[in-house]
Amino acid sequence: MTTTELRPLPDTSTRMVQAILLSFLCPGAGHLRAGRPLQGLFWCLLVQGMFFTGLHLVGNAQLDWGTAVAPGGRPLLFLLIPELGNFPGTWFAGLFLQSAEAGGRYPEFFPHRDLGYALSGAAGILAAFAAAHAAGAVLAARERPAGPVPQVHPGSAALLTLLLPGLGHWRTGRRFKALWFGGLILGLFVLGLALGDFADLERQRHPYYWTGQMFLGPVAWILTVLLADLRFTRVLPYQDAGLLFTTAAGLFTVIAALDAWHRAEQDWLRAARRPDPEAGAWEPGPDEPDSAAPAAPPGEEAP
Amino acid sequence: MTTLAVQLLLLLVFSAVLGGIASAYRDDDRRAILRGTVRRGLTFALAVATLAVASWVVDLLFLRPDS
Repeated sequence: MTTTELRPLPDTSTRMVQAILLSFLCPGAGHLRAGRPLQGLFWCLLVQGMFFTGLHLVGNAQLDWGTAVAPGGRPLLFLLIPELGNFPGTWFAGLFLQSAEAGGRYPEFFPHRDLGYALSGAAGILAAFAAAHAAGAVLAARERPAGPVPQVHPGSAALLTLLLPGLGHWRTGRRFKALWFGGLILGLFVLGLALGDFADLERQRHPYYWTGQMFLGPVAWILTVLLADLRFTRVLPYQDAGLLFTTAAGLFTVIAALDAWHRAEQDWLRAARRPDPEAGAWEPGPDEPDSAAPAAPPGEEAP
Repeated sequence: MTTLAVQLLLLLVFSAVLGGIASAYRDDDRRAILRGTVRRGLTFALAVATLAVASWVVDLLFLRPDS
């Protein structure tokens, strides 16, 4: 990488880590660290609402794919991906709820089971991105530029990438990278679906592939419901390649989101440390080496 | 039934996408991304193809019941 890296101030970094940890303990709590309680409440209600609605729709059958971690009999963790992004909800469900299968019923009895899987899985992924959003909000509050402000803070850029691969880069002004990421990821995903006769998205048949696929975001969440009636009825010649491609597309979305976060963070810090606020409009793009020069200390007050 | 030609084509497609994602993660400049995509994609495809050939040779020499 040819750019010079800018880093948040130590105190800001500490608060960003605190926001992430708080978000892990309770999705939305991290936004309190950024002084955004309403956003925190929104995230909390959204994540828990989706999670428990999803559990209800499928009789808690998601719990069958999880494992309790309880050293010495003390339940510390309920390992269930991707729901684990919502740590408290997953922990509560693993501890106090019981899968319908334990009562002799099977997920097939639940007509909206694919919607249930999609909702609970999406809740876990959204909870993880809520943590990133909270950290970005902390950065935006602690190191606010005196001059022109970038359109999005890093957390929003990452979240937008989850909503649609490439959208986060688009909002930071990186049109080529937006189309590049979006085209490659969505193209690979569609090709994988085609190779699997559009029956790739099935949690009951291959739960680990499904988890990776869900990281693609709402496109995969909606398709897993819309394509619920399509199932593998025979072994397709390139079925495995289809599963690999769709799963890789989901994981590539995470890489794109990490890049969107990093670029937006650099843009934000460069704007925050620009010596002369009147120097002109903010422009995205690669950092110049001299952009790392120390500048006026950023404001300590939240907006 | 799969064919070698389609498998190679799928390998090239996946390698190109992988190279494209890795390059876009590493670089922010369009030209650097395009250059890196070709280099990384070919490197990955070649590595996988080499492993495939090595596996095939080991199969021929040691793993067949009549070998």
